[in-house]
Amino acid sequence: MEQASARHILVAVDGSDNSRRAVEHVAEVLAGTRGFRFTLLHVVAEPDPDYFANDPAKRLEWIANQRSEAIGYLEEYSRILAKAGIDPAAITEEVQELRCPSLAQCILDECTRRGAGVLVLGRQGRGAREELLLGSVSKAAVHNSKGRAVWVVT
Amino acid sequence: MDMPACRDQILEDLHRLFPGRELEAPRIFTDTTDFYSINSGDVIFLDETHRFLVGNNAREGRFGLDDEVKYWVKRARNLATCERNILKLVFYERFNTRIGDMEVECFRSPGKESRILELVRGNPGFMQGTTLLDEAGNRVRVLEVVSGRSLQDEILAFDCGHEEYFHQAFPAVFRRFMESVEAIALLHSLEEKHGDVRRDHILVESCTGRFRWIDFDYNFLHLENIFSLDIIGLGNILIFLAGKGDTIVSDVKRDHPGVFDTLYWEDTSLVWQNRVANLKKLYPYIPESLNRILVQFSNQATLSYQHAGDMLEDLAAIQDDLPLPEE
Repeated sequence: MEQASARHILVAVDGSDNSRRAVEHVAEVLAGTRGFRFTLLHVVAEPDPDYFANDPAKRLEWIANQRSEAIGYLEEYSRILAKAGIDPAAITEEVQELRCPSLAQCILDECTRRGAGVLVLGRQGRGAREELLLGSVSKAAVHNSKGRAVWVVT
Repeated sequence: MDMPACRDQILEDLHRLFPGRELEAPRIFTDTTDFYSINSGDVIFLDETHRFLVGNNAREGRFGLDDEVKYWVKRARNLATCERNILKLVFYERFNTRIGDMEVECFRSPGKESRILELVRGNPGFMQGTTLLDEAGNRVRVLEVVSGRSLQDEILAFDCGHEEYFHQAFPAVFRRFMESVEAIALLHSLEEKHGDVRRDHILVESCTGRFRWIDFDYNFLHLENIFSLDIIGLGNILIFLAGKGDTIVSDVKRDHPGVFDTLYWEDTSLVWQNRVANLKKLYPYIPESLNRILVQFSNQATLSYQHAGDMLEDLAAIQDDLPLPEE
């Protein structure tokens, strides 16, 4: 586990417009700065073990598809940062496959493991009622984050 | 046991069960994959002590459809013990369910139900049963029959007004419901969901009055809150119990126009917008402490429970505020 650094920024992303906005926001705010490290992370939340219980091959295929899609947009997000003048050598792209009862907690754990002192994520864009009933990754990340800043981009 | 010996044994069983009747040799299934073709009068043979004479398919009212036939759920009698059982055969399905105006993907998982049956063995808050594999490796869940009617039918059968129900019957109903929440909290602590928490998935056992959860083969793809649908279900049941049924806005308008004029959108259920959750407006004798939990499931809620254990703590705190039944 690395010591948390405010100069290590972990951007948790998926393929949504809000994730792209989060990356663009980071690019705009930190354009031309030096001394920062960036991790672009997509967490593939392992499907519930019961979901593909009768077809394990489909489960592997589903994970592989998620992974390959993620690699596509991580490369694109990397280019957005680089275009803003961020040193490509300071950018790491990662796809992590994890069992996540709570996606927010998985992302926070990855921040801790990597020593990221700042977490950036886009809001999923659900309505207030839906968030209240089913939960919100960004709200849970803000609520449960300790010792790090969380930027939520809407 | 080879098939001819098994056939002789089954015929002997049937003669013992139906003495004096002329019986034809039944069809014997050792593979239950094609459950649609297994009918009343057939026998499912799993092993020497688990040979079942199949009765009717189970039925369930759901989504407004009364008596939908569940072909994968068979009423049966164990020919070795004469015990009545319910056999749940392997059926996979996926579908989207609506929570108000939101869609959540649900799926049926025999493996999950088998797992939970093991976890809750001996726990009277749940139906009991065991899992056996048929010849094709299908998980056949052999369930005990719970004698009793659904919690929904039990509540709707109270033949009295709300105030009398609330003062006389509700405190006992509430304590039983707390046991049901405790049972779900146990599942949550084991990182399992019930998956289909509904008032007709609690049976009220006729001999003990105990509430028992049934049908836990559903699962859902959760978003951030892993137990969200279970919690929503518990909230809906509590509102139903406290209201002695669903309190529909249009009924309030018809029957209590004065109260209707004081109702706002915030007083309705977070999930079912045509139902009143803030029941104290209609029934002022409902204790404030109970009503505070009811409105956690209304459109004025700002926080939600994450785990049935959190809800249980709040429920436990209001027990003393409930009326004592009059002698």
